[in-house]
Amino acid sequence: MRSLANALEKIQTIAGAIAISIFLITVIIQIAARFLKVPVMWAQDVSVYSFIWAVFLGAAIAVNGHQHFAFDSLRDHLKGRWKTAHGILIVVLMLIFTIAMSKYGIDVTKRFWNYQWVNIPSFKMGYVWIALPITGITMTFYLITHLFESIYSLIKGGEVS
Amino acid sequence: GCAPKAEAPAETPAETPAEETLEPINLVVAHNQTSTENPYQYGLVKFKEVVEELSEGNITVTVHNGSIGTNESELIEKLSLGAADMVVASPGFMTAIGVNEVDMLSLLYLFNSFDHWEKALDGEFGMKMKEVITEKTNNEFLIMDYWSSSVRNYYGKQPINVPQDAAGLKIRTQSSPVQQEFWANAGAIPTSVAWGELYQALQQGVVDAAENDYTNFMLQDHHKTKNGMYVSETMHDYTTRLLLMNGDRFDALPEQQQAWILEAIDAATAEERAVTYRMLDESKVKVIADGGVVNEVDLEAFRELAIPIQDKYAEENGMEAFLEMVRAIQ
Amino acid sequence: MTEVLLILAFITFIAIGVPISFSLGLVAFFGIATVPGIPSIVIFNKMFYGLNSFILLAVPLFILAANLMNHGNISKMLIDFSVALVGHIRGGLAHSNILVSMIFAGVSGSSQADTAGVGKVLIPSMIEQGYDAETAVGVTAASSTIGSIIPPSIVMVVYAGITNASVAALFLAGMIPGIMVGLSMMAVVAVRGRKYNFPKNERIKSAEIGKLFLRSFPALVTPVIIIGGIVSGFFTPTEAAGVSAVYALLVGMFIYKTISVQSIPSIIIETLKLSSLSLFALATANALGELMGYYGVTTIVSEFFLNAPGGMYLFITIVIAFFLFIGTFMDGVPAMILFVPVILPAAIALGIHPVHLGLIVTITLSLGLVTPPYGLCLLIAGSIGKIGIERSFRGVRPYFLVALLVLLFVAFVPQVVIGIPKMISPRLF
Ligand code: NA
Ligand code: NA
Repeated sequence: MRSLANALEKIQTIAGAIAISIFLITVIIQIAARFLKVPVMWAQDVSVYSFIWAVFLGAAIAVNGHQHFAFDSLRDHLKGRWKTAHGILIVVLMLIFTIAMSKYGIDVTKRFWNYQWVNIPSFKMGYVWIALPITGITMTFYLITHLFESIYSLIKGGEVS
Repeated sequence: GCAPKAEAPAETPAETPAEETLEPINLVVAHNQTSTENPYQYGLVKFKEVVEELSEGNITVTVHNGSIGTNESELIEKLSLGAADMVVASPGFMTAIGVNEVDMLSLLYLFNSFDHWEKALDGEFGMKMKEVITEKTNNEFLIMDYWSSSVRNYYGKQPINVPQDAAGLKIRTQSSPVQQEFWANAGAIPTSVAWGELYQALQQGVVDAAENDYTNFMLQDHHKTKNGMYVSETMHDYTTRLLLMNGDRFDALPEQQQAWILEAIDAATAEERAVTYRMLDESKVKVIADGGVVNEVDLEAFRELAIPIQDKYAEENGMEAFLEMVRAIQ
Repeated sequence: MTEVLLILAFITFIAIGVPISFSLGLVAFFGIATVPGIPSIVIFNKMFYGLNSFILLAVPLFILAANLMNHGNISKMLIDFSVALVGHIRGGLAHSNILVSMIFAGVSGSSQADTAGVGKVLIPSMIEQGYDAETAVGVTAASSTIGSIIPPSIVMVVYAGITNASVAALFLAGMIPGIMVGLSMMAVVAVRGRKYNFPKNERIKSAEIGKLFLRSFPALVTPVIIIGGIVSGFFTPTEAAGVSAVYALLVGMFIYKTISVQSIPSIIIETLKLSSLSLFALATANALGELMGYYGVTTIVSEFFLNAPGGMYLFITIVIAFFLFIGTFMDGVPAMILFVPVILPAAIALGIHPVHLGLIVTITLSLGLVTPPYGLCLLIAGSIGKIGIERSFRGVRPYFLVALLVLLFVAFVPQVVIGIPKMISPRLF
């Protein structure tokens, strides 16, 4: 499960890097277009939506790496089993949110799938909305991996870094 | 949807069954403007007052001015999700859900005056349009009434008299294809800028011009920017705003509550339009006082440019009959 | 009652160590269930709309630009130049640290990048030269807060996005307080330098300085391009952010030759990670904002301040105290997304200029970067200097206090900080 999580993280990192690169390129196209006085309405949609994708992907990756900003002082004062148990509590709370995000993300994507992009009517809003459930589901997967690791080490009596 | 605020009384007196058994409801109504000095706000507050009075508190209303969303598509989605019961929106969003018929209301120079606009929307044209929307959206979006966001004019870094004067100018337009086509045919470069960012875009020369109604751009001080100070009264768009409710939600209400809502909406619409017209006059005075430069334009030249786009649109979307209906009124 | 429970839940989540972004999201999710008839799905819908904004595109661009400057030796050049200029006076490296932060602030929109970039070089060399670790960490962390005050500034861009205030006006108005904070911190170094006998460098010959100036020239012109470009109206903030990223890339690749094509993917991934952390928090903060919308918090706040005695003075005092408190455990961007819409109508009704409010909020939140327990710059600098958070804050404290004085001046004497920019460029205000 750990290696699967790490493979998934690698895929998401590449996808995120692609999203943010598309974003950068379309922003530069818009700057150039303004000085050349050519209309590029499509680039605005592409840059905003690839930006949204990049943020959600990056946020999911950060769950696997424990990188979301948190206030650690309680955790730092705990040791051994207590520290592991505390880790489990945090993961469970986060899971409530990510599971809800997956479920409602699917609902909202389904409902608004066919809405069109403002400047590129042939593109569907579903392509953007789906970032929400994908983020929720992958975050859930990472958290469950952490949860199993913690439970395993709790049984063993050790501590999870 | 809305859950009941209070439990229905356990024992209902037998004498007056119809009214007493009505479960009280609270309606969440919203528009996207944060300012309270706004026709939508006046209209929705009027709705609240009238419906609460008529129903003697059986229907209560919460009005949100931008507090649950300043983005129109967000409000539309709220309506669809049941997180709002009634919202005000531009017809443009309907094209995003594939109802191209509504884009008819975005056609430039479709109406010649507020009087013409009212006659069309309050008459057969408006009625038929409601039916089309209800049918096309499977009753998801029910037009309760037509509101106005005044009439739109060009404003930019230089005045224009005929459409060709706009040639080469980057103009911020609405996202409707028929409107962009109009400005592109005039030789301008239609550009998309979010409304909230337009002030800076005008100030910094990201765009050379924009178009909107006096009240809207006056409230944002666009006329005080160097790229927004020349107002040319092109009067190209007598705008329509839709007061929308979820059709299934409305149909599920008891008849008595429906009747109260409809009666309150009549009052709300009258208020909204009256405030719109009053604010137009006041805003124009304010724009001129602030140093805005206003000129009249050769309206015929503009209409000439618009007519073929109207005809083409009607033909492509099978809306010839609708177009005839509007043209016949004047 | 429900409101109290929700606030308690929020504080508990944060205190026990649930990530800030998830604490925000969880409270929004639980909270919306208490509003009758409103489906939970709107919370997730709203997260999406939190990000669906053109102005926010500037955030990752500024972070990218800062990353490129750190990789591209631009930061190093600026440090060398500052050391050459002021290194020879007592407390020379401490002065250089502050000076470079002021220059770096003019190219970077983020304070964290400054702490990381400058700290990596100057904290070790300060300690080596005989400064105590507290001072090295304290000066670095405290002076990097200037990065958010002197333009460009991510915090100001987000503020402008929320309030519709002019970014150019905010940027122009940020210059004076930013320089004031820098100079007052230098004054602290001067006083403490005499008391604790801070070390100094040898004076560098002016011919050397001239050579260094030429070498660091491409780095030094960046602030001129960016600030000048935005304030004169040549660039929008997003464009300026994009241009500064491209410029840093070109300088790093072709002038200083420290950025290779192979290193670009890792810089991009670093940017992705850093920006998505604060932007995801922004999205969940926006969801919590939705809950406050249904609760009508804005109206309650406005009514409170309009009826309270003390008018704008009470309002400003409470705003500063509140954001100082919030800043101890929350990032500036989500804090603004949550609370600026709530206080803005009251501020306008009380006659406070949105740009003035923006300055107050920006400076207050930038101070939150160095207050424990959660002050990002404090944490970054502390980990470079290898000291804990309490010792780090002891080092920051004197500099924090003078910055607080500047903040109070900005808050209560707007005639200077708003008045002067207004004279320079009336069209912006
Ligand atoms: Na800065
Ligand atoms: Na510094």
